[in-house]
Amino acid sequence: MTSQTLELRPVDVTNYARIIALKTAPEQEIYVASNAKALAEAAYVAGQEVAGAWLGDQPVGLATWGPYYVDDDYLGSPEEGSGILEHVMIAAPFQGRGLGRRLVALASQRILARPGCRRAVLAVHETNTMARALYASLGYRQFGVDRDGDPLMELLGGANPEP
Amino acid sequence: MTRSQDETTLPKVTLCAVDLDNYVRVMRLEVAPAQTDFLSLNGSRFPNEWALAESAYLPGFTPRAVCLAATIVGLVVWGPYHLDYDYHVPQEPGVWILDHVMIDAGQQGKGLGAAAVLAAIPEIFAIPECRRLVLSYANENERAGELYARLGFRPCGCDHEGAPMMELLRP
Repeated sequence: MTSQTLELRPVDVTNYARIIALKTAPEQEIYVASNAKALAEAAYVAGQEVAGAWLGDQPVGLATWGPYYVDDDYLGSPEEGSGILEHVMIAAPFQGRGLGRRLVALASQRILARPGCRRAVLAVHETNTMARALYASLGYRQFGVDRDGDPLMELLGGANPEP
Repeated sequence: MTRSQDETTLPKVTLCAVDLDNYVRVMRLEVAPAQTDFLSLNGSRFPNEWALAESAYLPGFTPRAVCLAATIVGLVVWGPYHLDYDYHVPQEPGVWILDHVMIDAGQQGKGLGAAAVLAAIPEIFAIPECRRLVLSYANENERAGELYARLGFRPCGCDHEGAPMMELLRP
């Protein structure tokens, strides 16, 4: 398995149940929504994209991203030129080997490849220092806080994070 | 078909589309701790997250919010019935399944579950090809079996996981 590379694949009728069944580590549940919630949200918020993270035949995680609605105001208009990394998770048994970093890098590339997109943004919990360090290592920089006071980070187009 | 449930005493509910405006409220509905094993495969207090995600991927699956006046109190989902829930094989001809029936913990005990199922039945039988409606419920959930029997469903065996199934034929 170590020789296999993390890949993004579509979520579809043949694999959605395996993606939903993936669980993060218990101590991370305060930071990460369930995959079911993330997939349901993607079904209702226009423009959201989802991708399963796979090692060979094994699903190991999920990322979802889409238009950036400031303060999650999905009934308003998204901010032009920005895309948000909405949800990213690696299942507990597969953590600790750099897969999360690669998943964020791949998803960030996909966000920046969206038409007209100049920056990828994300919100991270203030206390989630591991995640903040991971995002920083890929070039994300804090540019503000959301309505809950949690840091907002951005990665500008052209930065091209190395997976 | 005999229905002994007195429909006139049930609360009046309507079934509404789940959409961008209400999906968050639907997902936040919680079942009582004792019911988590009845409705979700993963013991979550929020089984509607799973049900809405599944509805996004299974062709023909239809989620409907259960509304009591302007308040969303539950979720029902139905869709084409595939034997053993194997979505790689074709649908059983003419058969639909009531896949998910959920009433918020704080709203239970008022007959809302029965009212929601009674509201769903005519919508499901309005599908021209639908001749038979089936459902399954958790073995331990005896109250569900009694409720569906009062609404006219009859036992029709067990699913491949051993859960009791019931059926209602098109009137």
